[in-house]
Amino acid sequence: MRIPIDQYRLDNGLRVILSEDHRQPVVGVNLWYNVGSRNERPGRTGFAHLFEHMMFQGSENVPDTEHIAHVERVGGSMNGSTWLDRTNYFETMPASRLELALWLESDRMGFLLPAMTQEKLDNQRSVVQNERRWRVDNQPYGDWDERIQALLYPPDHPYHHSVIGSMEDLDAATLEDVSAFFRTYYAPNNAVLTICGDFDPVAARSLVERYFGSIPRGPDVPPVPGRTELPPRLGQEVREVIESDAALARVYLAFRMPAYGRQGFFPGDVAAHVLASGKSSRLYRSLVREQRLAQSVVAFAFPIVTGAAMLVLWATANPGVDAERLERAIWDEIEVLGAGASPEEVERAVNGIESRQTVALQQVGERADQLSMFATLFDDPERINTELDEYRAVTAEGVSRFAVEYLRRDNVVSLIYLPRARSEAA
Amino acid sequence: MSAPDRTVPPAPGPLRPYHFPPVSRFVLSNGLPVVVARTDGLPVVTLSVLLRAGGVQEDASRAGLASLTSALLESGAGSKSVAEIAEEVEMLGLDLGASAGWDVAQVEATGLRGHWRAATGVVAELLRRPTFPEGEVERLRAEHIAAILQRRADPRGLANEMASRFVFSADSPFSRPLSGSEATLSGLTRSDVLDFHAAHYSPTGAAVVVAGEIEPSEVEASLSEVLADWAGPSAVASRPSAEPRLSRREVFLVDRPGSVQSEIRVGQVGLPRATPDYFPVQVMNAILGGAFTSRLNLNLREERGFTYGVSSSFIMRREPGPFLVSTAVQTEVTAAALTEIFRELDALRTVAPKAAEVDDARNYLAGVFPLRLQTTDGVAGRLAELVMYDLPEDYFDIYRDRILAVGVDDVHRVARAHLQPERMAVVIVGDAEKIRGAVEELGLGPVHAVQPADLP
Repeated sequence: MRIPIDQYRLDNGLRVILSEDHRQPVVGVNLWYNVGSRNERPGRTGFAHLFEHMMFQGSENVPDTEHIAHVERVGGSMNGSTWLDRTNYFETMPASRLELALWLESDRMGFLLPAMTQEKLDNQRSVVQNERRWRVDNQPYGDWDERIQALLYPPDHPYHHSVIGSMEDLDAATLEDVSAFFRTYYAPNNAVLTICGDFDPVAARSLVERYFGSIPRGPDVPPVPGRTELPPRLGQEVREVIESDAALARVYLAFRMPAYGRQGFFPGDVAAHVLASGKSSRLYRSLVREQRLAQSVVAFAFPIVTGAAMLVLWATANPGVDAERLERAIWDEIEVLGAGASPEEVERAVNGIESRQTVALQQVGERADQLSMFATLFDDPERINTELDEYRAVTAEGVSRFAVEYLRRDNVVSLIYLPRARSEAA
Repeated sequence: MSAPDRTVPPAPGPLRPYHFPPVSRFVLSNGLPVVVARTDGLPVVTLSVLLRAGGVQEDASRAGLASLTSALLESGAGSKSVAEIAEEVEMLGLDLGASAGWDVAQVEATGLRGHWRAATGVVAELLRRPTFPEGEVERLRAEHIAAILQRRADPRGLANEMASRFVFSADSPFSRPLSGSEATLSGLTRSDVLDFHAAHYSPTGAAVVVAGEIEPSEVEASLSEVLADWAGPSAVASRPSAEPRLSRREVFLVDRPGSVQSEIRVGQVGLPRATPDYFPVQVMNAILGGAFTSRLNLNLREERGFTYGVSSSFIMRREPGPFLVSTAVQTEVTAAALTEIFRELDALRTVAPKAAEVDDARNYLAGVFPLRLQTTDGVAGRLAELVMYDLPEDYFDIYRDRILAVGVDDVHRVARAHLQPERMAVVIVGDAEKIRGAVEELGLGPVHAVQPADLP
């Protein structure tokens, strides 16, 4: 199966990808802006995400809450999300409403600022602070990624802080910040527009030119702030023990690893699968099923591109199991993996990756998002059709070598959550 | 190229019709019904077997048995060990899951078209010849007990559990968690699991649904090979109580000291899937809290900034399921948020919605219907509804027409008939000391302090 790709650029620098699929009368429209939390300046953590919320608050020709209302009232679905490297916006629409989506997206790309008000900023600041409370502050283990990022990346690296940001920095955000951020990053030359699904390619090209062609190119985008290159390993073990309101102890181990797309990322991703993806994985078999130390195990490689990615794995202890014992058991398995992986387990991991990717690509929205991603991160949307080859090329030796080189004591952040000691008072 | 007139939204292009994928039905020689939807997409197939082995089939004293039994299907079958099953399934790249809901248990596998036959073999083996090794029974029982501890420590999980408890009467199974409690799980033995499997994992009353790029004739041939000689006892109809617990509105304040948000659930016993009001209720709920631009979300989030989001839903089963409004708000505005929730519930009952609002909600539901049918498991889920609730053959072909036929009066009528704010249970999981006074002042009803540790 090959995803068809037709790509070109408008004069203003907007990169456009068209991918037809007429099997169902739906169309996905997806925009990646090449800006994420990594671009935030000191004192403004969380701003890229707060700004994403402001993009749903209307634009010059779209009143207040009407952006989402326009999509919902024609039977579309939409959302946006902010991550370390990027911000995306997307709609899946009935095929007949492609033009509506392009109108909405172009109006906020070109004409957002006239609609911005202090009242809207204060409202969305409050919504985002409630999002932080919901995801992080009121949730057992909710701050794990914030803690790991702060310890695995140095203070001058753009991954040092979390996407959601701090309450104080969110409080400090101003309307002037909204304007400056928009003018700096939200320009056609810093975006990829993908249309995927049931559309007429000639009509779509004409509509894209019509709605986006007149938006002026923005200034060159400044480089990602801070020190983006990193030593491939942390150089030490950093530990943190947290007494928390969780019911069960949990051990997180986070390792620096090669950035997504670089040599070494794919064996690392396969290693994460071999360790903890599925019930045949090493940690599940050993820690959950055989030794019964853990309730569950998880591992994954973050597909992030700035300097170094991270492999994070965690195990939730069974009641009464000592966290240190669980931690030792994880290290034992990592050591065994370093001594040798089997071709069968690597094949299982890659088969799972292939199968899940095929299942995911059934949705035009997912296809469009991946095309935007490959174009933004690697300047190469064709990777949607070739990335599996990178996984197929991973060998058992490559996986065990990755474990030896990266899953080691001088390259780990260990985060231990312990249930708070129960009060003796009645 | 002319510059567009940006001041008006563009008109729609030509409407392209949507058709539910063609559905075939047949019955295997042992009477097991099979429903197949031939989708035209990527080479992916979903196979799902539905069994009358859900939570409604278990005794209160053995709560959690249906869930435990389904989870144990992967723990050994025929001559294969738990490890061999996991390795086989993952070599095939199958996404395999066995789980129990209230109405049915389900074994579902999604995988690449090329592995279809192997997938049918694995699923049949798990269903028909599970070995339930003693060690695995103990392990999963302990795992399910630990999961209860985790859920109780998570404010969302705790709020959901408490909502069921205080919406349904104590003698209704729906008042308890499907997972069971520590007390009931501790008492479950391997022989309970064997008995439950023998009684309820039977082709009588079961059904198979398949969705994917596969011909019905091939489905029939391969399922006949692995399932046609499967026999088992007749299903016993179960009509559990779904009565409400409350005759007036009451508030249950579940203390979680130090919480920076209050998890809120406001609800009542709602409707069964077979309700004749299904379509108007969908439209009514979309207006209330079933879409981003619903009244609740525009009020609590976009106007007041109380929350990251609020939603409402009617969960429908063979018996009436709960209607719930769900949100998490910052602690300081807990009482104000409740005021707004009840204001919206009352408003929808008191005043008929505007025609434009009903129109938008209808178009939203009709439009998103096919978006969720892009995947084989999305289609299989709809087929499962057909089978589980005995819906008419053409149900999903006319689904959008039925939605679009709902009128303003229908919406107003079902809001008055099916929302009873005066009898709703209000569950708040939060810092009781900080919110109790303000909540009591609202005068919603008696306020009960709940210590989760004291509950079974």
